[in-house]
Amino acid sequence: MKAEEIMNKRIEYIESDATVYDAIEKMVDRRIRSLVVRPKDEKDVYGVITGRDIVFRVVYKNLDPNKIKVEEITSKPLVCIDKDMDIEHVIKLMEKFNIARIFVCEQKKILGVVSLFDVMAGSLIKRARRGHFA
Amino acid sequence: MINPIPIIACGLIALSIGSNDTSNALGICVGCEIIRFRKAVFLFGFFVLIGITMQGGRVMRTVGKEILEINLYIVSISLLVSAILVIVSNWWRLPVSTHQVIIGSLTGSGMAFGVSINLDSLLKILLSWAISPFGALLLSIILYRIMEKTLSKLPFFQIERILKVLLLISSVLIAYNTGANELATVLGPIIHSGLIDQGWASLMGSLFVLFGAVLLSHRVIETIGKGITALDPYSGFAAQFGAGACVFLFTSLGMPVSTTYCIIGGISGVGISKGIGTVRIDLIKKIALSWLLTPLFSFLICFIIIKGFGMI
Amino acid sequence: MLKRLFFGGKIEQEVIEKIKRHIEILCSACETFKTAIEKRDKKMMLGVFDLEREGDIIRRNIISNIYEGAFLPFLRPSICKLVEIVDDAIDLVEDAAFEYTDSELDNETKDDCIKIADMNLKMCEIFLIAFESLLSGEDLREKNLAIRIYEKKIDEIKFDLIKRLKTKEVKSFWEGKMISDFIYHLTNISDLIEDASDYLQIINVSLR
Repeated sequence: MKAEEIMNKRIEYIESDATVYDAIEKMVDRRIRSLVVRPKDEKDVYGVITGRDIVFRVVYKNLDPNKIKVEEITSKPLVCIDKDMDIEHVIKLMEKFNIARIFVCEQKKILGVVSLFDVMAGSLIKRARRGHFA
Repeated sequence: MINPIPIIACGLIALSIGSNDTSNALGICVGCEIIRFRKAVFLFGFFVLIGITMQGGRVMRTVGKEILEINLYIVSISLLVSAILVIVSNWWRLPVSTHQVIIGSLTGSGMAFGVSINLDSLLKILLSWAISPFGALLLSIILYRIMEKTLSKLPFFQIERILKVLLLISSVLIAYNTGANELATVLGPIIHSGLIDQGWASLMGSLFVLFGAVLLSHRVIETIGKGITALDPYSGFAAQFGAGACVFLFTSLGMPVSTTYCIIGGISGVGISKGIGTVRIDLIKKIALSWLLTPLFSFLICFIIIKGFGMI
Repeated sequence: MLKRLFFGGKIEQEVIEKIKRHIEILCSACETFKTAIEKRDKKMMLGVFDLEREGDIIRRNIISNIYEGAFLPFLRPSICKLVEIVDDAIDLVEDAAFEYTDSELDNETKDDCIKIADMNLKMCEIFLIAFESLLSGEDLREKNLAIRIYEKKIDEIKFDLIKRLKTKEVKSFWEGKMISDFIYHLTNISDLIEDASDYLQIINVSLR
């Protein structure tokens, strides 16, 4: 099973100078658990902000989300993989970097994201089809 | 000289067995469309004959010879009273066991006539009546467990096919028991009083049962959907076969027991296996009451009639 | 009668084959539908109508066979219900096909619809596998769960799709209605397949 087959193509973006509050709002409205942070200039790269980042670095520290900018808690650079990568390899990478999601990129373009949930669902579907379909 | 009264009475009781107890055996098979009604009835009659021919002797002996010294008067009165009681209670849809009525009547008549009653035999019979429903309950539970471990593991449609065969087998067993136990109870007295030869009695008795089944068919159809057929086929088999096996065991011991009560035991056994917590106490009470009163009632009536007419 | 009991199951076998064929028609309908949208081929969409008609014929055949005496009466309502649900699903594909031929979709909507159609197809395939598992005695639970996973994924797409469509401008009431009905029918197919899969589980446990 390849990364391309189970990835979620719905990617939501946010500007790096937006507030963490904006990020929270976007995540709630769009029902997603991570946002890709746009680079602030040509020298910058894409990053990602997740629920984990917000909870452990803002909420836990009792900081005001309105006062923290997204770029302060963004993880950079994005961990990217090729769309043809095998799921076993994807899982290894996720374990190695201790991340819950990994991005599928092709030549600087983000195609989609593979999360732990996608891997779990994909593996169940594969089990269900086992022995019946190629 | 052949006294016609007891023979006619037997015929009536046999007819009654045919009309009412056929559903015990066939209700589930006809309801599940495993077999058409016409064929079912003849299958039933056939196996009643087989049952009474092959194993009827034992129960016949117990009822006709071992309980008490039978004489023509006792036979006539008790069978006549039994026939009337059975027909009346069927008319009123009361669940009544022919075994209990007959043995109650025999004992009542015997006592009124002052004949010695074999209490040992009688006690064995009463014990059998008490134990058999629980035996059926136990056997059904065991059978259900076995089915869970074996039948359940098969693919679905295979279970369906096998179940149809199994249900037919258990119906045949009940039919056989109806001959070997129930009909034998009815015929025991007249055979052992020398009124009629065993072979003829068995044949005629089976025929009358068949008539009852054929003629009063609508009653069979009515009882479908009640009792055992309220269960799904899977549970129904466990209950019915458990009951049938239990009655078969008691028949081998020569004890006359009621299939109906055993089936109730079987259904309860399945209910317990499935984990149904609530038992219908009111129903149990009704059944227990009927179980106690039936033989008592027939006993008293015979006793009173005989003493009353001063036939001593 | 006895012959039927021991060597038979012939009429039951026939019914089972027909149910399988019925489900295969549902799969074909979904596949045709998806390909037609991908290629923007409205003519190809018409193939769905033929499949729906074939499905109807088979359904009627199955139901009459069942009431001619296949299977224990105890099981018949559940099996008939299963066939009805599959038939309803095929009907929905047909409805969606009809509405497609009468509407114009923008690219974003089209992409989402292709995703949904693709997942419908995958759901059908797993449903067929689930039915075969019922026949062979394999465990159905994983297949049932896989179908539910797809259904939730489709729900997610549907939610966002509808939100986006609400902002779209339509030139007339009927254009809007066509698109709305199209999306409604397209997204409900997965609900029915999920129902059918649940029914399969019900049948599976009814004789144990």
